[in-house]
Amino acid sequence: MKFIHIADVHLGAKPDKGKPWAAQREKHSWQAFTDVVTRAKEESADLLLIAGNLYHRQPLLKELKEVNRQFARIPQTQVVIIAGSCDYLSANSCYSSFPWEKNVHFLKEEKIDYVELPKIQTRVYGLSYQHREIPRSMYQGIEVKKDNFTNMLLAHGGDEKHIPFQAADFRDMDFDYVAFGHLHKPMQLIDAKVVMAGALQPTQSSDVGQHGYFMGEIKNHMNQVRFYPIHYCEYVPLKLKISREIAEDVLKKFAEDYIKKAPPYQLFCITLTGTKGSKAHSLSRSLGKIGRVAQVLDQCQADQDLEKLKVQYGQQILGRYIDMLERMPQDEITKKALYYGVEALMVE
Amino acid sequence: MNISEIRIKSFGKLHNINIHPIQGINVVYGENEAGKSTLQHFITGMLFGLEKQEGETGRQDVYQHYEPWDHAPHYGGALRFTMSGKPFLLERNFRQESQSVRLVNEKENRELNTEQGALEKLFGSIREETYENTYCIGQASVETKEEFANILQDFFVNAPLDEDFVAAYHHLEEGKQAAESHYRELSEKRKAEEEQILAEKARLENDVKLLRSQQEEAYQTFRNQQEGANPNRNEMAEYLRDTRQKKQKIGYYIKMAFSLLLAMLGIMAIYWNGSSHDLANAPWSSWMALEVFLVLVVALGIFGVFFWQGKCEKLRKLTQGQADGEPYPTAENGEPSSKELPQETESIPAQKAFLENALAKEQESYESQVQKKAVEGVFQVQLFDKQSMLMNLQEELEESRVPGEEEKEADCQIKAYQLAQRTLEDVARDIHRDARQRLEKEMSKIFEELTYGKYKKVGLDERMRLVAWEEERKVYPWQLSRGTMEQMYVALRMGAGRIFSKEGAVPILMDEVFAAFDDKRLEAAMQWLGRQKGQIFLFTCQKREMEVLEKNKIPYGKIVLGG
Repeated sequence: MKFIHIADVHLGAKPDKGKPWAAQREKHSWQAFTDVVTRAKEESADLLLIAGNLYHRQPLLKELKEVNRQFARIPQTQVVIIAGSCDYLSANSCYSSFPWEKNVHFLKEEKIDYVELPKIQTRVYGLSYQHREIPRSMYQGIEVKKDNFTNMLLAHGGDEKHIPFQAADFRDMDFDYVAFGHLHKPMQLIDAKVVMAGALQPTQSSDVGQHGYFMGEIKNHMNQVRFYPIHYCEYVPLKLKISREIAEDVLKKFAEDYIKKAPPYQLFCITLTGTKGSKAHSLSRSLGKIGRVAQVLDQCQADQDLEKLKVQYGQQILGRYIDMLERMPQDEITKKALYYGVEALMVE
Repeated sequence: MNISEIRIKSFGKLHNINIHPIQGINVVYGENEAGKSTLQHFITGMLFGLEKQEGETGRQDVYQHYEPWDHAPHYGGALRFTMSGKPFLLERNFRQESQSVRLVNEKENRELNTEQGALEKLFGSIREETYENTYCIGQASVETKEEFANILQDFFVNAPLDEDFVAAYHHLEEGKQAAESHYRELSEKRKAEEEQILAEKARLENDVKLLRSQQEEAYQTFRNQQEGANPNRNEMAEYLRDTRQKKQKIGYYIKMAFSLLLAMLGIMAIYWNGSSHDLANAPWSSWMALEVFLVLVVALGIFGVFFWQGKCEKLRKLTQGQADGEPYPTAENGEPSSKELPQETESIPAQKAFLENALAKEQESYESQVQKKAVEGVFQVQLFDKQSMLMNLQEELEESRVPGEEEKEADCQIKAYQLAQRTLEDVARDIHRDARQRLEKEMSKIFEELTYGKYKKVGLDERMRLVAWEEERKVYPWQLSRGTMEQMYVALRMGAGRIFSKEGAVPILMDEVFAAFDDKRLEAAMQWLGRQKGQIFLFTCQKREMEVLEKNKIPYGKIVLGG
């Protein structure tokens, strides 16, 4: 039995709002989804599992129709859907009453239910979100029917507010495969058994790294599963360490060249580290204006040896400044203030 | 700072003199007018420069006082000294017309840019004014000047903004402003987005309201239909039908009465015919025939009565059915029975036309009902869609109200800059508060030592005037003997010198300071000086100081002027 497992397609998401490439980014989820359906057709996949958040928000009728049109292309593939935390089933929506194609099975209950697919001897368990949050575990103690059917769980969650779970919980359960969604980073929590599909394409710049879908096969209760990336967009973290020795334009040139050489689908999230001169702000601004830079975060820290400075400048303004700030409750602001002040006092 | 060579080209009465002081105490000995004060002013001039005071003449102006009388082109000289282990050569020409200053790092053989404050940096940013009120004690002027109270006031009370502080504060301000402008840019962008969403939301809400009211109307008509008050029912047709049926009914009654009358008249005619003719005797021929005819008439009459009564009954049943709400016959529930409708009273074509018309109207009303249901369905879908859009917009709105990472970062930066500035101010204030405590402690220590413990505490009052405590009694300098008063000022000057300059950054110059000190207190003073790290020049016309130094085995260098 061949299956494809996707999650967090987030159709309708609008990432990178305000950026020049925002319009393109809006299309990526649709393009990627269409690609997956095409792949299912090519591979004659028996089952397509969609582990929640197919839509970014409440789907509109035309969006439902469009997705259904796609499903109509793969009548030989059984499609099982659950609603996730973003596209949860609300009472007044077309989502819950939409007439899907025959091959589409929607587990709409907010409690564990299952659909039996006798043709492929498979049973898919799962539940849909009818609320934005479900802050309790829901997947424990599911009674799985024991026969020659393949049993799968289609699940969504993984943080405190969205059905928290431990991968180990599923170790002893009788599911042949647990198809998770919700967290955007693709990962095999238990090899070939409990898999977080990750977002099909990144929806925000913090979704760094590759994104795509899992495709696998279950034969005689033996699993094989592999990750297949889709490259419409990939956010790449780029750390730039600043120091007094490196001039601003040199650093900018480096970033520009680096980005120019990278594959065209990559977007960059630059993090500035190290210490910087007085022109730090202009640097982070000018880096932000380079094409394909999605974000610039300035996380420069005081890299001076504070202990040494404290000894060296003891009762002088610098030594006392460090001392006074170190006595305050430490948080992001005090850390930054320490760095800024030391930087300012050491400027020559 | 350790001066290793004093080279005077021309300064007052001193010409082409080379002096090599030692580290530590140097006693500059000379008789009156040997040039001790000249040397002291030369050193000060070398450190801070010497400007000609415009318009001022006489002894106030040091420049004019020491200006070489022969108008020698070079008015000044050089100092060779080490500072933090580095050898420097400082050359100056004070002559107004050809004024120059040159500072050379002799180890690196590099000339430093004095215009950019290389000297000030070297001397630890002590100003001449402050120097002259602390480490530099001129002849018979151990008392600090009025201005010094102001300097102290500025320093301790007004919390002066020293250069490091100002530079750092300014640097932070720049950073803060940059972060603020970045933050503004980001948040304005977000606010604009929010406005846009709000506008769209308002538009959608309006749409939803409109759809709801339209749907309400659709419901209304639907409900009316169900309650039977179908406004689409052809009332005109019903009215026409009712009046027609009434007419028919009357017609049937008339016809029935006519038939009854006919039958009665027939019976009466039969009776009259029979009685006027003796039935037994009458000839069989004519009246018999008439009698038969009359019986037929009666029979027709009776038949007529029953026939029309039957018609009436049928019509009654029909009208009753209509009143009970049986639908007006339509295409679905069968042909309207044209047979039942009177053929006699209306022409067939007119009847047919009326029926077809009614039929079409009925059909139309049925179709519109179906259509309405469909429209209503579409309304519902549209409404759901719009409601979903509204929900999505609401989510989007909530999301847009949460600042992005870059904006949060900028906000955090602004707060950090503000905290840094506040902390810097606090630190500066602390430093000055502590400095005053330090100064008073230092002064007290020196004064206690000089007076052999007679006075334990000396400090500054709120107007920055010197005050000592003798037990619990406040004592001002003018209440003390000359010697003790001078010792008090020495304590202040030495203590303050430490606050205003880095230790050893500038030499201590003392011109005839100890004349009024008794032997005991002079010894104490020499002992104190012997422990200092910086270079000290004692200008004196007596040998007392040297004797005490020797007696106490304090090393010193001797510079003899004149003779």
